[in-house]
Amino acid sequence: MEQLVLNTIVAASVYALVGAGFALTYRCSRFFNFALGGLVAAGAYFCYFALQFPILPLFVSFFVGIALTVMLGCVIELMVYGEVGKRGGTSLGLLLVSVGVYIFIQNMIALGFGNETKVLLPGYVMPSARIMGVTVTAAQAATVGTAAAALISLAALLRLTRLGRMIRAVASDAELARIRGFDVPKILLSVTAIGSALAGAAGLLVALDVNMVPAMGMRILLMSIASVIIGGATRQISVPGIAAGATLVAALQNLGVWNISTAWQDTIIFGCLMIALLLRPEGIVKARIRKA
Amino acid sequence: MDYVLHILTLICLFSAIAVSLDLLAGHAGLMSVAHSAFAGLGAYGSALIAERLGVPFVLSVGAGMLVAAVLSALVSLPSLRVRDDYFVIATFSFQMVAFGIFNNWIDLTQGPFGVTGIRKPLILGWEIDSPLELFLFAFILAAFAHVVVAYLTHGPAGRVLHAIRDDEDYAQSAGVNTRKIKILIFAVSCSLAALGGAFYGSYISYIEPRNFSIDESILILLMVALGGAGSLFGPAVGATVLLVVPEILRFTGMPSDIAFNIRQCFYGAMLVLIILYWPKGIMGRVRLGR
Repeated sequence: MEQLVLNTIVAASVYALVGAGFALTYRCSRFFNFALGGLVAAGAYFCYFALQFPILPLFVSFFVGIALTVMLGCVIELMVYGEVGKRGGTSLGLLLVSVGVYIFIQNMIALGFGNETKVLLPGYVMPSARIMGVTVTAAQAATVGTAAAALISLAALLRLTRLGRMIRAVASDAELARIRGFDVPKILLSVTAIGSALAGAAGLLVALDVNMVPAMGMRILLMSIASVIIGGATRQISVPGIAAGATLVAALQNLGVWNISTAWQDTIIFGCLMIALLLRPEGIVKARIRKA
Repeated sequence: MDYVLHILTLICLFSAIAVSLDLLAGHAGLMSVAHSAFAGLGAYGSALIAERLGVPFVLSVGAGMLVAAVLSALVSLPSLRVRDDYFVIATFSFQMVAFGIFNNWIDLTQGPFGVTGIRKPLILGWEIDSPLELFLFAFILAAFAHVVVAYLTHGPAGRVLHAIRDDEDYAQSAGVNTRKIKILIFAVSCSLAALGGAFYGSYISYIEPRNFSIDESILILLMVALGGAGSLFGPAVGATVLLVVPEILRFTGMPSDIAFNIRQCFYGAMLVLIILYWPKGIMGRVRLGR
């Protein structure tokens, strides 16, 4: 039982990290960015790549990996999405393009590193501690800690800083923000950078905790999208909404494990997402309309 | 020769499935990424009903189509509540649930091992089993799918569909029962996909969940995008290009998993480039994603 709670918290942390990145980019550019799934995997594999240079200390390698992910995200934003936007693509066109980008990234990773499952730190025994009767590994603690820190700083950034105010303005009405003289493409780029960093960090943490395959990103992203939709954060960026949605999705997933085989986890979540879209597309947490 | 016939048969089957998707995506503006799931419902439905109940081929295919048509309500009902990108997520979810069922309901579908030994089509005592006969049968099937789509997209029915695509609110205010039409058009499109899937299973005599995954759904969508959405023969052209080009990779003698990754890279890049620079595809009438 305690183990289930731990699993739920760890999974919820990953979904909340990716979900926060997804919700940010969704609110600002108004399309479902599937390429984030590619960035999750890219985060893990870039770190794996950086670790091939043993001169670098562990944390520096992680940092390099995430920095590379952010660069990749920004390149995609500038070269692909910016172009689609200029050519008058709709949210549907952008969605299809991002699916294409995702497929491309996933298979480039597979060509570069192989399709087989990889471990980030082979032969490394993860330190662990017993907390309240459950064994918590350092990777799990890092996942929960990073997610908590990232969500709190994101909420603070959005609420307290000038950039955060501008992001909220673009999220609520990009056209109006542009008319008011905001440099919208620049704000979108910073949103992309934040989103890519969150996705990359999630990928790294999953690789650290479990393992990695080139296709790892899609499942994580889909669970995060489910979290964001169920949490109501597609209507308004709401950090509590994302956290609530992620917890619900992770709990559903792990409740399923209780007496149903793990193979059904995804089916249960997507069944729930279908029902959610049918019955309550606005999400469980009612979005409050606030002025940016 | 048999190899060429095999490719031609596949082209016919995929054309039938792609043109049925175009009925939704190109003509009614309902982008779906669940079409291979419906082909899968037809394939599994038909194969399992024929195997368990021993009914003749034609009836089992009909039953597979019926299963797909009924379950299409699970996708068409959300389309009444949510539009565009939310709707794509709904079809995405359906695709994932269907794949989960193909892959995990071992008692029914034999899971990842797939259904083996599916019989060749048998119609009125005539067993269709030579490559040439199978190709001709697939060709007739593709022609049938095209006739159905042509019938529904020309004339008054077509105008109603296009009105829904171009401005659903306006269509509604002009008195079109958009709910009824969306549900019906989904049932028709999905049962056509199921027909293609059922014949695919019977032709290959083996189906596994992988044949009906999200990758295949995206491939079918890419066929429509490349060939051109909203044109009658565009999807067939797209299917031809996308089935023939990867065959060339086969002759380079590359290891199959690398060839698979290269092919997927190619599909991904193509999807991006088409939407960016060539939204009408080879012969499309509708700009996809504009």
